[in-house]
Amino acid sequence: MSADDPFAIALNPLEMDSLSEVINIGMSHAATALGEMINERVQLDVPEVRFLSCDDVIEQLNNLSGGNVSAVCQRFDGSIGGDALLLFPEDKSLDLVRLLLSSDMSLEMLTQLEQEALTEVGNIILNACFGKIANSLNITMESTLPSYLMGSCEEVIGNLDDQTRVLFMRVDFSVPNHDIRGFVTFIMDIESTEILHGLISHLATRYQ
Amino acid sequence: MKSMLIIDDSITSRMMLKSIVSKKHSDWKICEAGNGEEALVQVNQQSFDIVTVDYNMPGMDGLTLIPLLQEKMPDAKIALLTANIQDYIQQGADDLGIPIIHKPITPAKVLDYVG
Repeated sequence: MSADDPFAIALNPLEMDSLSEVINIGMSHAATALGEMINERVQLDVPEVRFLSCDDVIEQLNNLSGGNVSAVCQRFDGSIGGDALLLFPEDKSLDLVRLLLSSDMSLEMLTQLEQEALTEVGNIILNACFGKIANSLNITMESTLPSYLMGSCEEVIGNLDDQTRVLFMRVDFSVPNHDIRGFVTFIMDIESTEILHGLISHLATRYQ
Repeated sequence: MKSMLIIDDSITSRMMLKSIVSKKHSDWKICEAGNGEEALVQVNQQSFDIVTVDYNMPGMDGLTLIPLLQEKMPDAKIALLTANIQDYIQQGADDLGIPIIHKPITPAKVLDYVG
């Protein structure tokens, strides 16, 4: 990310490390919640944290998902605000629902419940992740009701207006033997990004 | 035989909770409400022994609803059920003197609460 990149945020290495750690704690909590839901071990990769433009995020997600995505979006507001998105490659979302709900349910019933079940999964994962992040930063963030979106990455990200910067947290979580993976992003405006920077800076200096 | 009211806007969540409880207590009467207003209609008609209340619902949230339920059913065992793990939610539940069951719902968590 170059210094004149309008989407860059001037985090020093210690601040970037602190931000990654806070996000890692949040996503670890989310992975534990997902594991409890489906009664399977959930594997987490090291999170990749970057600030990107919406266009760059769409390009990244297209590369990662290979096509359409299922997404759960939830707005968080408080000291910092933004839209949190949990994204799954579309062809994997029914597998997740199948793991979540009982195996004796018919395919018809599973398909009917797919959106509703994924919305609840998103609600639990996003609240586990961002609740833990809020507690780590000693702030409060209230969340709206989750909503379900489906389509191309452009359609899903494009539904979010007037956003200029994305805290792109790519965390690959996988369930062995099921090839289920997903990504979390947090889309925030410039003001929230600057407040987040201040909070992270404060957190980083506390341990120096 | 006990009666239980599950208040949650998520069908999935209600379905999972009902399945866990009814497997252990097949004779219990288990009712469902999708939001606070629906719940209040039901508690005006009958009383419940056990109530679980989701926090984040359309209309009034769980912490706003619970005092209204406590007023109607002072002897009911009421718990807040939420995915939100933030400190202010815990504080709100503590102020009302009720426990929190953190989502995701698991048999162990639910049966530990309902008995």
